[in-house]
Amino acid sequence: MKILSIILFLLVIISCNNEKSSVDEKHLDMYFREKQNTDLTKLNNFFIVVISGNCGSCTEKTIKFLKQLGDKKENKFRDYKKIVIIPSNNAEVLDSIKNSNIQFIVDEGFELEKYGVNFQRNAFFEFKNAKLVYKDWLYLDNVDTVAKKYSFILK
Amino acid sequence: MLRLQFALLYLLFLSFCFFACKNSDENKYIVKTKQAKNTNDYILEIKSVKIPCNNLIRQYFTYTILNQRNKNYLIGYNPKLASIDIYDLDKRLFIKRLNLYSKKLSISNLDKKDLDKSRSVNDILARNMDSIILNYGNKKIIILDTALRCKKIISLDSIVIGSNIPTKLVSYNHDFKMFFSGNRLVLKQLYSNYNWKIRVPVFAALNLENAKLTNLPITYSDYLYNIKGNAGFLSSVITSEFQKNDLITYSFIYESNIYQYNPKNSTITCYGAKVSRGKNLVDSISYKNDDDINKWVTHHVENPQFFNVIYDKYRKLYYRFSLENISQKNGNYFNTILDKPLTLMVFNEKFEVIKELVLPMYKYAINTWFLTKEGLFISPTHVKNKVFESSCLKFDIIQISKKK
Repeated sequence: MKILSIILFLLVIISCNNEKSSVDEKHLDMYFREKQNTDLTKLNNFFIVVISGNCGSCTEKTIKFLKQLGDKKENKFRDYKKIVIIPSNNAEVLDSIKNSNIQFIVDEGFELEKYGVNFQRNAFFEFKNAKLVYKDWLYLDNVDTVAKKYSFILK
Repeated sequence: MLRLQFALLYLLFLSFCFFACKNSDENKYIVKTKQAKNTNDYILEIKSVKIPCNNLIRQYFTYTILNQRNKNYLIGYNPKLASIDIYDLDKRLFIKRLNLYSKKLSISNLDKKDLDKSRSVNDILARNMDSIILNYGNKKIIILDTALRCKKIISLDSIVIGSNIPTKLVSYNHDFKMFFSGNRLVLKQLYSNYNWKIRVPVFAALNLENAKLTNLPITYSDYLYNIKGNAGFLSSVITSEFQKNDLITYSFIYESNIYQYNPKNSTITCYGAKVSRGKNLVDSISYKNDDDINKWVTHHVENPQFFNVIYDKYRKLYYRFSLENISQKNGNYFNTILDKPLTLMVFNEKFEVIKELVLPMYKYAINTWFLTKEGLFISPTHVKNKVFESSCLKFDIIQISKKK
């Protein structure tokens, strides 16, 4: 009986964690379908970075990370589509990341929030075979952690 | 089966206690509001005005109103152009632009987006055209004239009163706006690592002549102490530059009460100023390091927000705007703070309610209001109001007058 209870408890925990990931997936999917006319399930492998509209979101480190992500000479993630969504109040950052293979989406009129895609910090998502496999914050020193995972060198 | 029934009853009891506690908080902390007897004697009119300009921005969020020789001037900080822009409000004229990167001033590297407040002009106040006071990143108070001559610079870090708890002097146009009380400039004291166990003064008055700082006996209200400061984004004390002589009127973003401090006898009077729609007290919110940070955003949307209290010396009235609490979830979509209805309340000098009016949705930008003899100005430039004319500043003027 005890073992059964533990198994049930673990199952509940696992399903809760999955639910959180799937909530982000659901919100992103709805935003892309309705606002960008894009079906994410057809994209296969891709990264999405959502830049926060808050102060300090576009630090030098984050910009270096995005430059690495969009580096045209980089081969490791050649088959990945790279998408960065940036709120219009932070859109001047785009001037620093010219000539990259990132698709930039400028969110005019705070539409992201309406779809539940609003984060107080920059969010990084990796999708493989159209499934969310990794999410983390691109925030302060955590940028280094994400960069290390993908072997990006933040010079 | 009995156990299940007991568990259900227990849950029901807990829910009852939870809601009873919420209501009792409002009963305990929110003061009863009085209605004015002659509310029908007042009429409200709104007129729209435009001021031609070329400033690249829709509205000013950091600004002051100067009343000099019976003329009214709007002095606003323009982050895109790193300038102070001056308008004659009576003649609807742009007058002058002061470039803050002038060599005469030691200002550099301002944040064009105005997001990083340590690299911004956080607040402005003016005594006259020869004495425009800028709060530069909560680091310096810079006093300059319209010829960009720097009259005085006071480092805010160097004048903090010796205390066991580290403090910092701050002011923000949209939050705790600096103002004059007599000859002294009133600023907010910010405490780091504050434990909410002892009451500490929040207001400090700075003598600009000798940089001497004096505490005023004003603290946060009982409710914030009770919830140990856990009001999420909604925990500020707020002030306005439009003060009645010899009194300091202030309020808190998290409750509808309005407070008045009388420096002559050091008394504080609390007035009820309840809104009739929605909550009058912000719920407490706890936050642990591993919590989803969006919990604060949800709390912000689902709670009310009360703004500063503006005194109208021409009509002997007070005004206060507030945002109503709404549900964040909206079917498959989400409401944001931009979807919250904006309410204006008008009080007489005894803080009895004269009018309460819900303004049209998606029309007005918050924190763009100010007062002149003409009335209460507000900018019709809500983010979702996409009609933008870059060649002019637009205002609606709310005018309240007594029927003749």
